[in-house]
Amino acid sequence: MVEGVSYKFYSRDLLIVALDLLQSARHVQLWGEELGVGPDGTRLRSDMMDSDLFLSEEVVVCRRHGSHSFVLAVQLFIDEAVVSWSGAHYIYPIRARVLNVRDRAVQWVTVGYVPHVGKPVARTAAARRRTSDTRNGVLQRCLAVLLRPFVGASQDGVAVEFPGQRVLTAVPRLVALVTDQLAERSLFCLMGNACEFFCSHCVVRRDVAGGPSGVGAAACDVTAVLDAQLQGAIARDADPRPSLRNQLRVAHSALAFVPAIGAVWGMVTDNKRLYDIISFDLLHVWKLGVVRTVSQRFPSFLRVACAGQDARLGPVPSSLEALNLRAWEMGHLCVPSPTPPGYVLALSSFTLFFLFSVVLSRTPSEHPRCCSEGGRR
Amino acid sequence: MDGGAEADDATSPPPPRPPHNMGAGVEAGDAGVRWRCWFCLREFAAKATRNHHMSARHPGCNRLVSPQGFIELHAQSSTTEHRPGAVGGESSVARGVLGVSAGAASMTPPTPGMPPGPGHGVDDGTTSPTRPALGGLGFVRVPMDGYARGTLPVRRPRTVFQTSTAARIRAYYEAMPEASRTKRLVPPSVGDRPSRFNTPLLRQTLNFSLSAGGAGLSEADQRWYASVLLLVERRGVACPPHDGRRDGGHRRKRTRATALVGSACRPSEGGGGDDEGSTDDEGQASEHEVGELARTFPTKSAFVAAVRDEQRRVLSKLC
Repeated sequence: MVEGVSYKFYSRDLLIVALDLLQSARHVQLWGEELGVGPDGTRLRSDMMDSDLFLSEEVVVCRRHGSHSFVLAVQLFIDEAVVSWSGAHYIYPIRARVLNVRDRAVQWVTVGYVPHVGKPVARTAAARRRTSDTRNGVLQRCLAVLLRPFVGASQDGVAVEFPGQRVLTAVPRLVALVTDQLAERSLFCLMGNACEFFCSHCVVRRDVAGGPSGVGAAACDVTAVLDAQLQGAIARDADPRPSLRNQLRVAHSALAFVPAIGAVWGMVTDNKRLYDIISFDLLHVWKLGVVRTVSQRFPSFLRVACAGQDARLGPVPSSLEALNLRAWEMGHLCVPSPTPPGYVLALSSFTLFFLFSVVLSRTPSEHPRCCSEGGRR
Repeated sequence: MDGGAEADDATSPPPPRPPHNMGAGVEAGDAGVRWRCWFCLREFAAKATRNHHMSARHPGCNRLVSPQGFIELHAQSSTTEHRPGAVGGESSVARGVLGVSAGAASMTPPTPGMPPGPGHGVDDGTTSPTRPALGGLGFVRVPMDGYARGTLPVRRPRTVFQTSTAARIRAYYEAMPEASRTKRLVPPSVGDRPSRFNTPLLRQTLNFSLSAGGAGLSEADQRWYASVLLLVERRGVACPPHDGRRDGGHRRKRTRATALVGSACRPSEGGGGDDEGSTDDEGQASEHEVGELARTFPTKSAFVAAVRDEQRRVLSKLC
């Protein structure tokens, strides 16, 4: 019940889902491993299991729970634009994946359906405020229900017995949150627009962002923001007047809600990875118009990148025509479907790479081969 | 729970009396209560006036929470009056209980006139009708099972739970009613039933019904799909609608031909009686020629109901 309206949230127990996935997996990797340094001196990385975030969490977990413990790493995918295909409910899914499962096929499991809160009918500030509060409240409460056992287990761990081995302690952690930026701000209960601090990671101000003076901005203080949000949420529960939230808005560009994800151990404690777990859903952003946004910058980019000379495809208008054609072709490849988002990063990164390679490559490209590779992925 | 209740009776502080000149509470009956500004020494007769003053005179100050150490005028008197054991009169048992609730928080008793820190107060739920205030906004509510059964004091692992930011966020959402209102969508007993889609053909039929077009077929389309499959199994001979229901007690008068064809849709009915009446378009059909789908789901409504039951059976296994 949020703002006087009752909503239904369909969910599974995230902890049990993660343990089921772990139990039914054929290949399991419990501990991460740093890959070392490549021949050119750069750090080698292959996936999340050897990332800095995972390895640092693993150190904390082993220190707290002993050497016979491991990180049960869970990724979440939340996207309000991906609505249920049933047609009977206007809900959007939350999907989860366990990184420890190393089977060939990436397995995303739907663990919940969050009800969508529509726009207000009345065009008043009060109605907009009420709808905004409802939308934030519903999302956070749904997450709180979804994460309830998971939160407890992230602090105490869960005993897991593997065949032929002794009992190990699985310590669940959220290591990635695949969303777009709008959902990111909503999940962290931060202002989505008209805010001074629009970056979740640092406190760079809007007027200096993108310039030299904005480079050295300090990192965001997770504990301070969440403490203020918690106090603001308690004050909002007692008195919903927007004027009481001005301090929170000015100081942190935050909403008077507290992110339920912050209750998971490791988000606000230890390494405080709350703002580091965001992974943008590139394909979703792509479909929402990133092509148009990026393409508007291409003429300026081409002039600088080609140093006054023509690109491989000729002058700027010809290059833009080729880009438009390629974007149109890629649009046909990126067909929205209810399949899990495991292909997102691979396809999108390939697409962006290919668009640039078409323009800047000095060698003759093999369009049919590249295109077919993209289609297979 | 009995032991815990006894412990509560023995160790909890006396129920707080309402402050002076307050009837139903601080918010309702505030006649005679003065509200002092958080940032200056001005006093006001109403809380709204005080809020208006603070928004006008101290716009840059944080008005979400009161400054550290601030306490309302009426609460100052009630604090000093209603906490006799706060200064030095606590028994060892009571001090142990406070230690349980406060955990890593300071064990020093609050000084008169200063607000009790988190964990100092033991709220019995009668003083604050709202959610337990967390993080310096008032009292921390100790759950009823927060006391040890039998002997006191006993340390509980919730000491960290009450102090870290993550634990306070968890407590904030745990205090909401949604946390305890979750219930299973389908009872677990439904999952004990065996599946009726137990052959490859039936499983493929179910798979198509639930996944065609991405979202699966609607119930109307499932009926249509089942009728087509049944028609194929009958080698294209039309079958009158038979849903196992009577239309208000008026049975349709069947001709011999339709009765014969209809009996082919109900293979297990009547035993040998069907054999002599059953026929296909060539008049040669027998019971063993009835298809697998028709044997399991004689009617399209049975098929739709079975699909729905299968969905519930699977959902019951999810938790």
